[in-house]
Amino acid sequence: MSSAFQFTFDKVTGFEYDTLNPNTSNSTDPRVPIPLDNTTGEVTLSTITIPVNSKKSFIWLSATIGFRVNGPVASGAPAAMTFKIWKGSPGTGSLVYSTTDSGQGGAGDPTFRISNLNHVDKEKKSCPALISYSLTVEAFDIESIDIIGPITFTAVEIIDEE
Amino acid sequence: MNKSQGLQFTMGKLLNFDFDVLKPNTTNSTDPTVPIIITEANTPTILSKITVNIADNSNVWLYATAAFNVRGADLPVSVIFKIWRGHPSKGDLVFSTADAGQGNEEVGTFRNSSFTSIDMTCNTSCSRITYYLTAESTKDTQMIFIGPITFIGANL
Repeated sequence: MSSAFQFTFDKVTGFEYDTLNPNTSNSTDPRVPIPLDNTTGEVTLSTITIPVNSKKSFIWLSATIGFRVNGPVASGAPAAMTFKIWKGSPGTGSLVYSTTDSGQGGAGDPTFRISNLNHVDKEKKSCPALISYSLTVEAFDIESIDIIGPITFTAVEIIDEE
Repeated sequence: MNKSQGLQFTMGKLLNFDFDVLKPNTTNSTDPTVPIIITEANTPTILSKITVNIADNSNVWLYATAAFNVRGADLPVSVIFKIWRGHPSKGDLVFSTADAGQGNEEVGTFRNSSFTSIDMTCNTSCSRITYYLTAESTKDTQMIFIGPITFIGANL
Protein backbone atom coordinates (compact mmCIF):
# COMPACT_ATOMS: atom_id res chain seq x y z
CA MET A 1 0.00 0.00 0.00
CA SER A 2 1.33 3.41 -0.82
CA SER A 3 2.30 5.76 1.97
CA ALA A 4 -0.13 8.51 2.86
CA PHE A 5 2.21 11.34 1.98
CA GLN A 6 4.97 11.64 -0.58
CA PHE A 7 7.19 14.70 -0.87
CA THR A 8 9.47 15.25 -3.86
CA PHE A 9 11.73 18.28 -3.56
CA ASP A 10 13.63 20.07 -6.26
CA LYS A 11 17.25 19.00 -6.43
CA VAL A 12 18.49 22.45 -7.48
CA THR A 13 19.66 24.43 -4.47
CA GLY A 14 21.87 27.06 -6.06
CA PHE A 15 22.52 28.80 -9.37
CA GLU A 16 25.12 31.38 -10.41
CA TYR A 17 26.06 32.71 -13.81
CA ASP A 18 28.12 35.25 -15.70
CA THR A 19 27.53 36.53 -19.22
CA LEU A 20 28.74 39.36 -21.39
CA ASN A 21 26.46 42.38 -21.85
CA PRO A 22 25.28 42.08 -24.59
CA ASN A 23 26.02 38.37 -24.80
CA THR A 24 26.39 38.29 -28.56
CA SER A 25 28.85 37.54 -31.31
CA ASN A 26 31.20 40.53 -31.63
CA SER A 27 29.86 41.84 -28.33
CA THR A 28 30.48 45.46 -27.37
CA ASP A 29 31.14 44.40 -23.76
CA PRO A 30 34.56 45.88 -22.85
CA ARG A 31 35.76 42.41 -21.76
CA VAL A 32 36.06 41.42 -25.43
CA PRO A 33 37.67 41.07 -27.88
CA ILE A 34 40.48 39.11 -26.23
CA PRO A 35 43.33 38.55 -28.67
CA LEU A 36 45.31 35.34 -28.21
CA ASP A 37 48.45 33.74 -29.58
CA ASN A 38 51.10 31.52 -28.10
CA THR A 39 52.72 34.42 -26.23
CA THR A 40 49.55 35.53 -24.44
CA GLY A 41 49.51 32.83 -21.78
CA GLU A 42 46.45 31.75 -19.84
CA VAL A 43 43.67 34.36 -19.77
CA THR A 44 40.67 34.35 -17.43
CA LEU A 45 37.39 34.70 -19.33
CA SER A 46 34.95 34.51 -16.43
CA THR A 47 34.72 33.80 -12.70
CA ILE A 48 31.64 32.81 -10.73
CA THR A 49 31.23 32.13 -7.00
CA ILE A 50 28.51 29.80 -5.79
CA PRO A 51 27.41 29.27 -2.18
CA VAL A 52 27.38 25.52 -1.51
CA ASN A 53 24.63 24.42 0.82
CA SER A 54 25.23 20.68 1.12
CA LYS A 55 28.20 18.31 1.32
CA LYS A 56 26.11 15.83 -0.65
CA SER A 57 25.79 17.86 -3.80
CA PHE A 58 27.24 18.19 -7.28
CA ILE A 59 28.11 21.36 -9.13
CA TRP A 60 27.02 21.26 -12.78
CA LEU A 61 29.28 23.61 -14.73
CA SER A 62 28.50 24.81 -18.23
CA ALA A 63 30.10 27.36 -20.53
CA THR A 64 29.79 28.72 -24.06
CA ILE A 65 32.55 30.72 -25.76
CA GLY A 66 32.52 32.25 -29.24
CA PHE A 67 35.81 32.89 -31.02
CA ARG A 68 37.32 33.84 -34.38
CA VAL A 69 40.40 32.19 -35.87
CA ASN A 70 42.32 34.52 -38.18
CA GLY A 71 44.67 31.92 -39.64
CA PRO A 72 46.25 29.74 -40.89
CA VAL A 73 45.29 29.10 -44.48
CA ALA A 74 43.76 25.74 -45.26
CA SER A 75 47.10 24.09 -46.00
CA GLY A 76 48.48 24.94 -42.55
CA ALA A 77 47.96 23.24 -39.20
CA PRO A 78 44.82 24.32 -37.34
CA ALA A 79 45.16 26.92 -34.59
CA ALA A 80 44.19 25.39 -31.26
CA MET A 81 43.40 26.55 -27.75
CA THR A 82 42.70 24.85 -24.44
CA PHE A 83 39.82 25.92 -22.21
CA LYS A 84 40.12 25.16 -18.50
CA ILE A 85 37.84 25.37 -15.47
CA TRP A 86 39.64 25.88 -12.16
CA LYS A 87 38.21 25.54 -8.69
CA GLY A 88 39.96 28.42 -6.98
CA SER A 89 42.53 30.63 -8.65
CA PRO A 90 43.83 29.69 -12.10
CA GLY A 91 47.21 27.99 -11.83
CA THR A 92 47.09 27.46 -8.07
CA GLY A 93 43.59 26.02 -7.59
CA SER A 94 42.32 22.60 -8.64
CA LEU A 95 41.93 21.91 -12.34
CA VAL A 96 38.49 20.34 -12.64
CA TYR A 97 38.02 20.35 -16.42
CA SER A 98 39.78 21.13 -19.67
CA THR A 99 39.15 20.66 -23.36
CA THR A 100 40.89 21.61 -26.58
CA ASP A 101 39.26 23.07 -29.66
CA SER A 102 40.62 24.55 -32.87
CA GLY A 103 39.83 26.38 -36.05
CA GLN A 104 41.42 27.01 -39.39
CA GLY A 105 40.79 30.21 -41.31
CA GLY A 106 42.51 32.89 -43.31
CA ALA A 107 43.32 36.46 -42.26
CA GLY A 108 40.84 37.82 -44.76
CA ASP A 109 38.43 34.95 -44.40
CA PRO A 110 38.43 33.92 -40.74
CA THR A 111 36.66 30.98 -39.20
CA PHE A 112 34.00 31.68 -36.59
CA ARG A 113 33.44 28.90 -34.08
CA ILE A 114 31.73 28.28 -30.77
CA SER A 115 32.69 25.89 -27.99
CA ASN A 116 30.36 24.48 -25.36
CA LEU A 117 31.82 23.03 -22.16
CA ASN A 118 30.07 20.75 -19.69
CA HIS A 119 31.21 19.09 -16.52
CA VAL A 120 29.93 17.93 -13.14
CA ASP A 121 32.23 18.60 -10.19
CA LYS A 122 31.62 15.95 -7.55
CA GLU A 123 34.70 16.41 -5.39
CA LYS A 124 34.15 16.62 -1.64
CA LYS A 125 33.90 20.05 -0.11
CA SER A 126 33.49 21.70 3.23
CA CYS A 127 30.10 23.17 3.90
CA PRO A 128 28.74 25.80 4.02
CA ALA A 129 31.25 27.30 1.64
CA LEU A 130 31.70 29.75 -1.17
CA ILE A 131 33.38 28.09 -4.14
CA SER A 132 34.82 30.12 -7.00
CA TYR A 133 35.22 28.65 -10.46
CA SER A 134 37.29 30.36 -13.13
CA LEU A 135 37.05 29.76 -16.87
CA THR A 136 40.33 30.34 -18.73
CA VAL A 137 41.71 29.95 -22.23
CA GLU A 138 45.24 29.53 -23.56
CA ALA A 139 46.28 29.40 -27.21
CA PHE A 140 49.33 27.40 -28.17
CA ASP A 141 49.83 28.35 -31.80
CA ILE A 142 51.34 31.49 -33.29
CA GLU A 143 48.16 32.12 -35.24
CA SER A 144 45.86 34.89 -34.08
CA ILE A 145 42.63 33.97 -32.28
CA ASP A 146 40.12 36.46 -30.89
CA ILE A 147 37.55 35.65 -28.22
CA ILE A 148 34.68 37.81 -29.47
CA GLY A 149 31.67 36.63 -27.49
CA PRO A 150 29.35 35.31 -26.45
CA ILE A 151 30.73 34.12 -23.12
CA THR A 152 28.37 32.28 -20.79
CA PHE A 153 29.47 30.53 -17.59
CA THR A 154 26.97 28.85 -15.25
CA ALA A 155 27.10 26.77 -12.08
CA VAL A 156 24.19 24.81 -10.61
CA GLU A 157 24.24 23.07 -7.23
CA ILE A 158 22.31 19.79 -7.36
CA ILE A 159 21.58 17.71 -4.26
CA ASP A 160 22.82 14.12 -4.48
CA GLU A 161 19.96 12.43 -2.63
CA GLU A 162 17.11 10.19 -3.70
CA MET B 1 -10.83 -1.88 0.39
CA ASN B 2 -9.64 0.86 -1.86
CA LYS B 3 -5.86 1.32 -2.17
CA SER B 4 -4.97 4.76 -0.85
CA GLN B 5 -3.30 7.11 -3.28
CA GLY B 6 -2.31 9.41 -0.44
CA LEU B 7 -1.11 12.92 -1.08
CA GLN B 8 1.84 13.70 -3.32
CA PHE B 9 3.73 16.98 -3.28
CA THR B 10 6.29 17.84 -5.94
CA MET B 11 8.31 21.02 -5.50
CA GLY B 12 10.53 22.24 -8.30
CA LYS B 13 11.28 20.87 -11.74
CA LEU B 14 14.50 18.88 -11.41
CA LEU B 15 13.43 15.50 -10.05
CA ASN B 16 16.39 13.22 -10.79
CA PHE B 17 19.91 13.73 -12.08
CA ASP B 18 22.62 11.37 -13.24
CA PHE B 19 25.93 11.91 -14.99
CA ASP B 20 29.16 10.30 -16.11
CA VAL B 21 32.48 12.10 -16.49
CA LEU B 22 36.09 11.03 -16.97
CA LYS B 23 38.45 11.33 -14.04
CA PRO B 24 40.14 13.69 -14.62
CA ASN B 25 37.71 15.16 -17.13
CA THR B 26 40.40 16.91 -19.14
CA THR B 27 41.95 17.05 -22.57
CA ASN B 28 44.33 14.06 -22.92
CA SER B 29 42.80 12.60 -19.77
CA THR B 30 44.62 9.79 -17.92
CA ASP B 31 41.29 8.03 -17.31
CA PRO B 32 41.65 4.44 -18.65
CA THR B 33 38.47 4.93 -20.70
CA VAL B 34 40.47 7.04 -23.15
CA PRO B 35 41.97 7.26 -25.68
CA ILE B 36 39.23 5.68 -27.75
CA ILE B 37 40.30 5.23 -31.38
CA ILE B 38 37.62 4.74 -34.01
CA THR B 39 37.60 4.36 -37.77
CA GLU B 40 34.86 3.46 -40.20
CA ALA B 41 35.61 -0.21 -39.49
CA ASN B 42 34.17 0.14 -36.00
CA THR B 43 30.51 -0.27 -35.15
CA PRO B 44 29.04 2.40 -32.88
CA THR B 45 31.52 2.68 -30.02
CA ILE B 46 30.18 3.36 -26.55
CA LEU B 47 31.68 6.51 -25.02
CA SER B 48 29.52 6.70 -21.91
CA LYS B 49 26.32 5.49 -20.28
CA ILE B 50 24.05 6.82 -17.53
CA THR B 51 20.98 5.48 -15.74
CA VAL B 52 18.33 8.03 -14.87
CA ASN B 53 15.44 7.54 -12.43
CA ILE B 54 12.19 8.53 -14.12
CA ALA B 55 9.24 10.16 -12.37
CA ASP B 56 5.69 9.88 -13.73
CA ASN B 57 4.80 12.26 -16.56
CA SER B 58 8.30 13.63 -16.95
CA ASN B 59 11.01 14.06 -19.58
CA VAL B 60 14.78 13.66 -19.65
CA TRP B 61 17.08 16.49 -20.70
CA LEU B 62 20.22 14.91 -22.14
CA TYR B 63 23.49 16.78 -22.47
CA ALA B 64 26.84 15.54 -23.77
CA THR B 65 30.32 16.85 -24.49
CA ALA B 66 33.06 14.79 -26.15
CA ALA B 67 36.41 15.97 -27.47
CA PHE B 68 38.49 14.30 -30.16
CA ASN B 69 41.53 14.73 -32.37
CA VAL B 70 41.77 14.01 -36.10
CA ARG B 71 45.11 13.61 -37.87
CA GLY B 72 46.12 13.30 -41.47
CA ALA B 73 43.03 13.90 -43.56
CA ASP B 74 42.87 15.81 -46.82
CA LEU B 75 39.10 15.87 -46.58
CA PRO B 76 37.05 16.33 -43.42
CA VAL B 77 36.46 13.24 -41.29
CA SER B 78 32.99 13.04 -39.84
CA VAL B 79 31.89 11.50 -36.58
CA ILE B 80 28.29 10.57 -35.94
CA PHE B 81 27.22 10.81 -32.32
CA LYS B 82 24.15 8.91 -31.17
CA ILE B 83 22.20 8.70 -27.93
CA TRP B 84 20.31 5.47 -27.38
CA ARG B 85 17.59 4.59 -24.91
CA GLY B 86 18.79 1.12 -24.01
CA HIS B 87 21.82 -0.72 -25.38
CA PRO B 88 22.83 0.30 -28.95
CA SER B 89 22.35 -3.26 -30.19
CA LYS B 90 18.63 -3.31 -29.38
CA GLY B 91 17.62 0.06 -27.92
CA ASP B 92 15.84 3.05 -29.39
CA LEU B 93 17.74 5.83 -31.11
CA VAL B 94 16.67 9.11 -29.48
CA PHE B 95 19.20 11.56 -30.94
CA SER B 96 22.03 11.79 -33.44
CA THR B 97 24.25 14.49 -34.85
CA ALA B 98 27.42 14.75 -36.92
CA ASP B 99 30.56 16.81 -36.49
CA ALA B 100 33.81 16.83 -38.44
CA GLY B 101 37.50 17.62 -38.20
CA GLN B 102 40.27 18.04 -40.72
CA GLY B 103 43.83 17.98 -39.48
CA ASN B 104 47.29 17.34 -40.78
CA GLU B 105 49.82 14.70 -39.74
CA GLU B 106 51.78 16.91 -37.38
CA VAL B 107 49.17 18.69 -35.31
CA GLY B 108 45.74 17.41 -36.13
CA THR B 109 42.46 19.10 -35.43
CA PHE B 110 41.13 19.27 -31.90
CA ARG B 111 37.37 19.34 -31.82
CA ASN B 112 35.10 19.84 -28.81
CA SER B 113 31.56 18.66 -29.60
CA SER B 114 28.56 19.41 -27.39
CA PHE B 115 24.92 18.66 -27.97
CA THR B 116 21.63 18.45 -26.11
CA SER B 117 18.23 16.86 -26.58
CA ILE B 118 15.04 16.01 -24.77
CA ASP B 119 13.76 12.45 -24.53
CA MET B 120 10.02 12.58 -24.00
CA THR B 121 9.45 9.62 -21.73
CA CYS B 122 5.88 10.43 -20.67
CA ASN B 123 4.52 7.29 -22.30
CA THR B 124 7.12 4.88 -20.98
CA SER B 125 6.38 2.62 -18.05
CA CYS B 126 10.00 2.43 -16.88
CA SER B 127 11.13 3.83 -13.56
CA ARG B 128 14.78 3.82 -14.68
CA ILE B 129 16.24 4.31 -18.16
CA THR B 130 19.83 3.66 -19.23
CA TYR B 131 21.11 5.94 -21.99
CA TYR B 132 24.18 5.19 -24.10
CA LEU B 133 26.34 7.75 -25.92
CA THR B 134 28.08 6.30 -28.98
CA ALA B 135 30.35 7.53 -31.78
CA GLU B 136 31.10 6.16 -35.23
CA SER B 137 33.25 7.39 -38.11
CA THR B 138 32.66 7.67 -41.82
CA LYS B 139 36.29 7.49 -42.94
CA ASP B 140 39.23 5.20 -42.38
CA THR B 141 41.27 8.05 -40.91
CA GLN B 142 41.71 7.61 -37.17
CA MET B 143 39.60 9.72 -34.88
CA ILE B 144 40.90 9.69 -31.32
CA PHE B 145 38.69 10.59 -28.36
CA ILE B 146 41.05 12.08 -25.81
CA GLY B 147 38.70 13.61 -23.26
CA PRO B 148 36.84 15.25 -21.83
CA ILE B 149 33.68 13.14 -22.02
CA THR B 150 30.63 14.38 -20.13
CA PHE B 151 27.19 12.76 -20.30
CA ILE B 152 24.30 14.15 -18.25
CA GLY B 153 20.66 13.20 -17.81
CA ALA B 154 18.27 15.48 -15.93
CA ASN B 155 14.73 14.23 -15.25
CA LEU B 156 12.35 17.19 -15.40
